[in-house]
Amino acid sequence: MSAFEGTNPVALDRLEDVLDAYREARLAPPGAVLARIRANVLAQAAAASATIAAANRLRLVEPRSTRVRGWLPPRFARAAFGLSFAAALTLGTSAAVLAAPPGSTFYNARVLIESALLPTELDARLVGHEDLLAERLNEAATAAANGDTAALAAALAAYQAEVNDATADVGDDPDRLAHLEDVLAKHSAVLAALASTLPQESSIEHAIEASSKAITKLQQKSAPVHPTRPPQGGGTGGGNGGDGGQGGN
Amino acid sequence: MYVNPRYPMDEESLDRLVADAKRGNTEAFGRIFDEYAGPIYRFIASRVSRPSDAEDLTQLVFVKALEALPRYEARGVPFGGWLFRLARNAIIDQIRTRREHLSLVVATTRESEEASPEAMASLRDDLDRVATALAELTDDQREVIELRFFAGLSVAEAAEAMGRQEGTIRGLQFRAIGALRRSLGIESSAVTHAPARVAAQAATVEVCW
Repeated sequence: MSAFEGTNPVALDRLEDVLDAYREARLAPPGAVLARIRANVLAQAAAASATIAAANRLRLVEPRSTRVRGWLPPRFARAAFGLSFAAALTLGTSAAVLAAPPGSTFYNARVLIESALLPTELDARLVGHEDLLAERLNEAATAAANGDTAALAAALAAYQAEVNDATADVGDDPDRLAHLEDVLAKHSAVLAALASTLPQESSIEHAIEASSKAITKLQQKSAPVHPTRPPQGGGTGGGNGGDGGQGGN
Repeated sequence: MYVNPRYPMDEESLDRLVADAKRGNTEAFGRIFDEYAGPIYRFIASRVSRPSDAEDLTQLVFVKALEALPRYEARGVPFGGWLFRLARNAIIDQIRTRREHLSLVVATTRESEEASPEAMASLRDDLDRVATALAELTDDQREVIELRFFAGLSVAEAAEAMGRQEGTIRGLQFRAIGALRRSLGIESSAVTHAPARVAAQAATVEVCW
């Protein structure tokens, strides 16, 4: 449908073509510019969101009533205090959040922000998931090396959440499914190696279990389009009977 | 349901995103950005002279939108129109501050492998003719073309952005189209004409500021 109604359609088509060409040639934003703006804007959005969340948490712990009503500051003073507090929170919180290590107060907020900042385009998003998974794994390894069980548990919980997000986002494309499956398999091996160095650490077992479940889910998704990748745990009868010889042990 | 031809998202989905963004959902705001960043940038780029200004102002518009979003009420106000009103005000503020004229961008074109120097020079001339034709419109007519065509707004959104009635927008658009056709020599019977080359050649060249 033309954006310009009510005049000669042939001439309008020509004019639209000309303006279209002009728009694309002289006004179209370079992709790198939009990506730069997006990163800046969403960083501010994430900081604002963290501030709102922090303010809500404060509201929850604020006493609901006070006996000494006369001691309450006037409304405008409270508003001014609120505004300056919010401004301080915005600056202080965003800096603290972005550097928060696992196990610290703002670590969960940081994880949330990093997930929210992932691009929407699918391939770029999956690369982002992969980077975050690797980062969570490194954090877990560092925490384990330092003997910090709280940090280890936090990093592994974030890792599991990231596994779930990546599995949910991957879609049905067989190549993407296979790639994510490989990544998670490598991570499972790392986690298993990590678990063997620790006396008893149930959070690692949970993370390994989450990874294994995700791998199984990915295999089930790719099974209809990848007949060469049979689901683990035996066949469904019929089909490639010639492969059955492998079970001889 | 109305679906703007330039935005694939329908109104219900957009309303949901806006509601989520108002609650502090960063991902929802990111999707709104993805939907509108290109049109906002093109609108701003058509009104400022430097690409760096277009980038700065586009960022400023979305930061302002982030701050103002909690006060946005969807009732009867198209979100696109509201957002473009922010953009329009940001441009006006910048022009006031810098005392800058509303100049259309004079772009430099970079040759692609396919385009010959002659073709590039010819294309540049044709694009300059379009820029001149746009510059000859009245401010209001030009703004309607920028909002309706370069940014892809509906009549209702353009009306909201400019603070005018929809009928006024239609009238301005009708007169702007007539003026552009006369300036560019586009008549219904004409078959070969310079502006037609613009569309054909622009597809073969890579163009930058």
